[in-house]
Formats: sequence, C-alpha cells, structure tokens
Amino acid sequence: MKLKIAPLLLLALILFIVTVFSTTIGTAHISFATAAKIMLAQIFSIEKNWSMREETIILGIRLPRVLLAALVGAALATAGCAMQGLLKNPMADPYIIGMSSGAALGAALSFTLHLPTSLLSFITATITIFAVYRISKVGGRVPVATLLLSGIAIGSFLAALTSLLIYMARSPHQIIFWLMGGLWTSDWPKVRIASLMISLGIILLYRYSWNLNVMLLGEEQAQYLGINTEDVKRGVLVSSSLITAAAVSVSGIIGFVGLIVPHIMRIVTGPDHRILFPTSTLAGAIFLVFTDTISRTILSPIELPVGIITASFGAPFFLYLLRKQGKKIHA
Amino acid sequence: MLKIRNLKVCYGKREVLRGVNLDVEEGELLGIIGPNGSGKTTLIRAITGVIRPEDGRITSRGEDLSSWDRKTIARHIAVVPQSVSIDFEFTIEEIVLMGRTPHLNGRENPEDYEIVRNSMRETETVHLKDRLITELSGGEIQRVIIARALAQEPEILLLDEPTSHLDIRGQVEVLHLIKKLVKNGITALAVIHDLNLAAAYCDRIALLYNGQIMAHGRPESVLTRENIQEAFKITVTVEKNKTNSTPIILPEVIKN
Repeated sequence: MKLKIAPLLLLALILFIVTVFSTTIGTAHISFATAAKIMLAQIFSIEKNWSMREETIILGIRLPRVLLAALVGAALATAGCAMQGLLKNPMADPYIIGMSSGAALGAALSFTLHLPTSLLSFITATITIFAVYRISKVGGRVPVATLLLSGIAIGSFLAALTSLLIYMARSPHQIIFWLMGGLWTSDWPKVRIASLMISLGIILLYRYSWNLNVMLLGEEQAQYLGINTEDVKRGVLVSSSLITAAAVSVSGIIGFVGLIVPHIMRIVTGPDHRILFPTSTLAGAIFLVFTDTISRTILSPIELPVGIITASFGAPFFLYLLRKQGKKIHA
Repeated sequence: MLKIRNLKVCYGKREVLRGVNLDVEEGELLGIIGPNGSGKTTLIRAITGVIRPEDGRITSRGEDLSSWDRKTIARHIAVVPQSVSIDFEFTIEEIVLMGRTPHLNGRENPEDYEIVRNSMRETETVHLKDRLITELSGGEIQRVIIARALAQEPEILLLDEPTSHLDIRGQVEVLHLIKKLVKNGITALAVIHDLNLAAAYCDRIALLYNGQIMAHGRPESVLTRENIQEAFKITVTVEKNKTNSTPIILPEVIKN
C-alpha cells in the first residue's frame, strides 16, 4: 500500500489557514498577517510589530477556543472513523455505544450538584463504556452485535435518567445548552488537558490501522491472518472512548462530526485506515474550527450552539457527495 | 505432517466432531468430503485454533498447536475460507499484502512486496494488481484469496470449499492451481463438495459423516457405492475413468 502524502499535506495547510483565519474574526479587527505572525512568534522568533492588545485578543481569547475546536473535531472524527471500522456499521459514530448518554448524565448531575461539569461528564462517560464492554463480554469474547445492542440499551436507560434530571431541574436550560454542544467555555487549561488525552488516544488508534484494515474482511479471516481480534477490539474501544470522553467533557455533545467526516474521507481516500485515520483527524479539526467560527458570528452578538451548525452545514454537503458518487456507502 | 488425534469439538452441548483421527502427509492434497453439517468447516476451525476443542490433540511436525499464538499459527497454516465477499474497495495488491500480516512488525518492506509479487505470479493474478476487489469475478477473487494465503508463506494450506461458488471452469482452474501448489511442496487439506472433482484431484480422501471419519484413503477406496449411500443417503453408480481409473460418481435420478 503506497501511502498518499499529498492529501495530508493539503489538509494540514488548510487547517493552518482556517485556524489563523478564524482567529481574525470577531469584534476587534485584526488582519490575517498579524494573527499569523502572533501565532508563529510563539514558535519562531519574529520581529514584533503588533500591539499588546492584539496579542492578548489572539492568544488569550480567540486561540484557545479555536484550538479546542480543532482538538474536539479531530477527536470526534478519528473516534468515529475507528468505531465505523471496528463495528463495520456505517451508522456508527463516537457515541454509538452509549458514550453520549453517559456523558450527558454526568453533566446533568454536575449542574444539579454544583460540581465541575468536565470532570463529572468525563467520569460517567468512561464508566458507561466500561460497563457496556463488560456486559457484552461472553466467554472471553465481545461479539460486535452484542456490543452495539447493549450500548443502545444502556444508552437509553441513562438518557431516561438524564431526562428525569432535566425535568426536575430548576434551570433546565443549562443542561439543554450543554447537550447541544458548544465551545464557549474554552480556556487554556482545557486545551492543555484535552490535547494531552486526545493526542495520546489518536496515536494509539493509528497503531491499529493495519489490523482494522484486515478486520474489515471479517473477524474470522482476520484471525486466520494471525490477528488477535479481541485485543484489537479492546484497544480500539479504550482509545476511542478516551478521546471521545475528553472531547465531550470540554465541549458537550457535538453531533455529526464523528459520523460524517470519516464517511466523506472514505469517499475521497478509500478504506485504508492508514490514510483514512490521519485525513479524518485533520478534516475533523478543519470542519469544527470552520463551523464554530460560523456559530459565533452568524447571528453576532448571539452565539449559536455549534452542534446546530455542524448538522445544518454538514448534512447537505454529505448528501451532495452521496448523490454525486452514486456509490454504496460502507463503514 | 499434521496429526489430529481423538479430536472432539462441541458447540454448546452439541457434539460436532468426536473421536476424529486424521493424518495429513507432507506434500499431499487431502480432500475432506461429507454431507452438510457433518463437521467439515468445524474441522478447519479447530485446526487453526479459532475454536477450542473439547478434547484431543492437533500436532504439526510433532508440535502441539494449542500452545501456539495466533501469529505463529498464521505463519504456519493459511486458510482459504468458504466464500469471500469483500465490500471494501481495497486493491488486489493490498488484499494480497494482508497475507503478510503475521510476519509484519510495523511497516511492510520491499521484501514483503517481493513475496506478494511471487504469490500473485503463482496464482496468475499479477495483471489484476491495481484492480479493486469489488470489481472481480468469483473465480478471480478465489485466486486472489489463495495468493493472500501464499503470502503468509505457510507450510499447510486449508481450503474450505474453495470452488463451491464457481462455475465449472472456475472450479477446474482453482483445483488445478491447488494441485500445482501441492506439487511445488505445500501440504493441503481441502473441503470439496463435488465428489467427482475430489476424486480427480485429491491424493487421498477422508469421508466425514456425523462428526466422525467414516472412511479415508485413496479416492477409489473411499468413494464406493456403499459409503456414499450411507453418508449421503442417495443411490449412486460408481464407474471408472478409462484413462486414469479415478472413480466417477453418477447419482441415480430420483423418481417420484
């Protein structure tokens, strides 16, 4: 398999441009060149010809939000890609086995009990996946169909609990806003923690690229080719849960990115995870930075939850690709 | 080379194989025949350790296979499964390269590509290299899957009804290819449904019936009127091919 480097370089370039561009957007006008220089000055030594105020706006306010958007987008698209490949199910997304319901319950609890939302949603999301995995385990094996079904069952159970909390809550809009997903609480500490967990999880997932390719041929064939499929399942589930939980805990439940971005990339690059993973990561980052910029400017000064934008921009684009390709869509 | 002793396999409470003793000699093509549900596929799955036998021993060159991990088994034994339908748009070269999986340590190197090329040459699939697996015919796919199995560099090749979805030409081509590989030194065990093809191509045949080996040996000693009647519950006449005296089995037309 000869790897295609060109699309990766192109996507990395687009990501850089979109990132810089979106930091220039806002009430205070800052030019693209200035924004780019302020950012690059953090890495390279560049002669300073901008004001302290501009630097504070870019580095202190806008950049953490844009970076968090990129991280969350990368995490969701990569995890979605992994789940689609592992479950061989085109409907799969990072949340499919109950992750979102677990995180939502944690967030709802945190608002009720006045505890830190990120921490609690991360914990409940992780516990959920662990429970789903344990319940699906039959005689040392985890059949994919059982995993899906028990994920859906536990998910609906937790969703019912969350609905109950929302119904009983004094200010339910807090929880509801969180459920729609948004990046308005971004700050540097969140960027640091998220980047650590997400990059670790993504690197771990990349290591399974080849095995996931072989497992697309079927689990039994993969075993005949020397792959311990249960190890792969566990590793992929743990890594993608880690990055999804990290993403959800800082941004709420942003839908669509993890479902659609991997599909679009699959249409473009084909099923080889060794190229599909990195392109999905980059495209997910680009997509969420782009849509988040729209969500905070389209009705300025009102900010929309980014989840609304991701679906309303992503769905038509995906349908267009689907029709244009005229191909069957596979996981 | 491959010795199966007193093998017993259960699915839940149901015994699928019991007391199976079978030797596959080095460099032979051993055919497994038997009615549906007699345990043929289970035998292949037990040899590769995909399912754990309840009882019995399987050894290869005297080494117990149950102590080997998946990777080691895959370097030694390759499987061509019953029917392969691949919906994913991998190229033929990529599919064959997947046969290198048990040997890979990180990325593949030029040597792996060399082995892939040789496997494709042996199965006459080189010209398909850049085509997508989703575009090929059944016979071509089967040759590609055999190429993938060869890329594992196995000593033993297990084939589970490699010809069942092919037309007569495809069947003959695939069996001819297997015969050629055996002549070049590989040891093969093939589940074959068509008794006449099994008779024509296999060095020896084992007849599996009700989870047990009912008969095994040279084709003419296994494919007798009585054995077939008992295992398959049909009446046949057995004739002899005039040129090489392999048996030809003709089922009697069932009259209402």
